[in-house]
Amino acid sequence: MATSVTTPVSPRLSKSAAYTFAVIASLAALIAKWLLFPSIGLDSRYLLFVGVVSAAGWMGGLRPALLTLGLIGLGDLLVIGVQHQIFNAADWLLFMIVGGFVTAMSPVQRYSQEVIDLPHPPKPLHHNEQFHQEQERHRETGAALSVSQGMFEQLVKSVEDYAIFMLNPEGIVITWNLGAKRIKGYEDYEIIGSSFTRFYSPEDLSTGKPLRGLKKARDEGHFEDEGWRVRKDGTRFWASVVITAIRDEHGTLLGFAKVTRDNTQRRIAEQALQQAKNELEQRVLERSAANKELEAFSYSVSHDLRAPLRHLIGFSLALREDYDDKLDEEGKTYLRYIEEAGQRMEGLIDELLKLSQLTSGPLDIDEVDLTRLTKEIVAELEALNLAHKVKFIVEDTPQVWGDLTLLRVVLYNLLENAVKFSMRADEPEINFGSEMWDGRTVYYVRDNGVGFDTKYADRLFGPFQRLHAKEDFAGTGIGLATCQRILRRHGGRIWADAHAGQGATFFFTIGDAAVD
Amino acid sequence: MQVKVPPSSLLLETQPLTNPLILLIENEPADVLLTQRAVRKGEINAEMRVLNDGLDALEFLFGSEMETLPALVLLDLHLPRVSGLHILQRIRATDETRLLPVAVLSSSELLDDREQSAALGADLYVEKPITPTKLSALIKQLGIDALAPNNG
Repeated sequence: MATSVTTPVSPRLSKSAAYTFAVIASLAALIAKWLLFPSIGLDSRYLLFVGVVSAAGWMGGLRPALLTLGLIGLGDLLVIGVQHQIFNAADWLLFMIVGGFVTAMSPVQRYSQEVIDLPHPPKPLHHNEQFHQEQERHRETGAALSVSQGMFEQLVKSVEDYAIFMLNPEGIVITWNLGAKRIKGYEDYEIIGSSFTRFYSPEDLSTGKPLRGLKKARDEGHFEDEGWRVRKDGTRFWASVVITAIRDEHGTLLGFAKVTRDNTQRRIAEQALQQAKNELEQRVLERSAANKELEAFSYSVSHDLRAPLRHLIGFSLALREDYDDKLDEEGKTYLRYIEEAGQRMEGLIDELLKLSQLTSGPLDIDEVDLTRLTKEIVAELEALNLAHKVKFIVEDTPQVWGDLTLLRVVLYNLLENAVKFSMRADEPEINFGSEMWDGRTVYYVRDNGVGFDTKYADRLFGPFQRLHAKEDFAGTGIGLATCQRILRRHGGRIWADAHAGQGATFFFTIGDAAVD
Repeated sequence: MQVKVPPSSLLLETQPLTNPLILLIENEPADVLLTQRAVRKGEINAEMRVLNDGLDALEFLFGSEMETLPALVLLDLHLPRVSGLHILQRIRATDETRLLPVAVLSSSELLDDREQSAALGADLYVEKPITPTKLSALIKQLGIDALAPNNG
């Protein structure tokens, strides 16, 4: 520390003036109390007294404040005795304690004022030596730096997280702190007097970056930068730098304050983050490439599997038409079987393609009203005359978030199945609704049709599985597999409950992956 | 329109292209056979020229020896060397062939082929196999009088 604490000197008042101020202020306060307080009230006098002690501390420092406190304390006792003949010892003691505290705080009060008043150096900073000489001179005269300046200097010096140092207008380092030593590796005697360009890499030096930064700070008052800088040992660190030009009240450049932070860890984290981001993007690209591949596969399935089938069907047709007279009934029957088999195979390929298309694109999520959707599908089935004499009971259900098109496919398949398998009932009835199971919404489609044996329930949802002869019930056997794929993509599941001859109920959940 | 079918193949060689021409661009022998049958069974008054390679088709259509334009082009999309869509694009981009009736033949109905063909200016998109019924309907739909089936 540059100066001794025992001789605080006010920047505003000389020693004698400070004590004079203390005495006068104390007397004034006591007289004011004498004149005013009978009418205002006795206790509020202490507010005035504390204010006066504080003012003395601010103007003169610790000792004048102490003097003021003593004078007022004694004076108050005297005045009370003469004027009121009453004395509340507790109030008086409280005042003395508060006053004592204010007195003790006066150096801090003055110190904070110093900080606000910075920069305070009286002359431009030039070379390091000059600066030290100046410091020496201040020290010798004993009036160079106040306690607060010393404290502030100490504060800056002891900051470890930031390199905080000053440059003169030519970029020569003139102060150094702990943080600067820790970050850059130089002791103060190694670096003070050197140009700040030592912190830069050869690449930056060759492009003239350091001086550009300094020029910018001079022109605009402020310069911020991030980049690799060089430590004493030659290793590099990622620096966040702020250079601020410091000028006196006439605008003359005194130098620069430079604050540097070592953000190498942050930089590494950022780079890792960037790398992770790149990898993610790469994966998205790969994923979309995989989707493209799937599309290409679907296309080739569509084309390459179908082409020979078309030939089969085409030639069978040609045979039947062109050689009609040469074929007997049995021969014609065989041809019909060939054609039918070909057409069925074609239907399967179509379904398979639809399944892969339905389950590979992105979901288009929106709020969906399944009850309304069910009513629409019922109307559609009725319009197509597919569901005559079936009684539909559609209950209101909670809204869900999902892909409208895909959920429509689910409901369509379930309702179509329900109609198909209940048509032979005496009074076919189909219910749609929802129930709460353990706090989760479970939707259901229930019919009173032929049902099925539950031991086959697992097989229901595999592609091309069927539990009934296709002669009895038409269909490719892909509908429930499609439902399952779609509901899985919605984070839900589907299951069935049935008994042969007693109808079937299909339950499903949406957006409830935890169920599985 | 009544045009006599040439009585012999010899006459066909010496007097080529007296009948309107159907150009079939298709590399699948089975489809070529089925289409030829459809022309025959549908009693279409036309010669048929089959090209089973995309590049050959381009040379035939845009080469110098081309004298008479076909009355109808039946175009498969999956061809060696040059794709059917490319040929279609070229036909529509060339002044001489811009108005040629082109029907695209395809085995796939689900995917982009249909849309792409339409976008590039195909007049029709026909699913294989080509049958006499389909071919007659196609000619009627495109209004190609020269190819109207014989009435007797």
